[in-house]
Amino acid sequence: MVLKFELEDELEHKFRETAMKKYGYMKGSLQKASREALRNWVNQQPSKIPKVDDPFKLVEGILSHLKGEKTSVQLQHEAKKLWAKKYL
Amino acid sequence: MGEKVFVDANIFLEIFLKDSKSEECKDFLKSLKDENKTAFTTDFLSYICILVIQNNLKESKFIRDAIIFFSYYEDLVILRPSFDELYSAGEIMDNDKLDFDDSLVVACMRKYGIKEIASLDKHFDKIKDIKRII
Repeated sequence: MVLKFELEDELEHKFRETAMKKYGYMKGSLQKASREALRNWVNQQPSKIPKVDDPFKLVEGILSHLKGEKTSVQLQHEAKKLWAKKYL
Repeated sequence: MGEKVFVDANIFLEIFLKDSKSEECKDFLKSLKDENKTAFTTDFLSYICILVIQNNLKESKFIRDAIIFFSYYEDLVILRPSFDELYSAGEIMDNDKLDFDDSLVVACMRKYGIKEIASLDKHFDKIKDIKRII
């Protein structure tokens, strides 16, 4: 199957350059890179996540019991430290 | 793709907290589509938000809700930094005196040509080629 679409010049140039670097300056390199890119993109799209009308309603205020105790920036820094402690 | 803006984790966390700038952050996120702006964040920052939820709420339902929230935006691009960006972040740490994760944000922004960041963290104010818009 053949897919045809237009790309911005900059993206096309980077794509060609990167594909050639990875797969060599030969016929088929762009096809291999395109397949890899498309496969990765398809795999990253949500397929089992339910749709909701207003996702903000799901998360707005879920941590409101911490309001006044910690700011959003403090929570972010705490989580980074926790992540580092756990995974580094 | 119109203008690009990077969104820091604390913008999402502000909404989760429903703190003083929550409405501003929510309006900002909701306005992106109308203004033809594309929002970018990193996978790491979305994990940070999920870790905060895990730390502070018992039920895993809230983690699933947060994931639905993150997957909602067609115009939210989740970047997965490459080794190039990780390496650049190491250099930015020395040059701009930021910690690694803030440096990684700057590295990703430069890589993708993003000039604006929505963040409540004033650390980014010292980076000259980046403008903090919230």
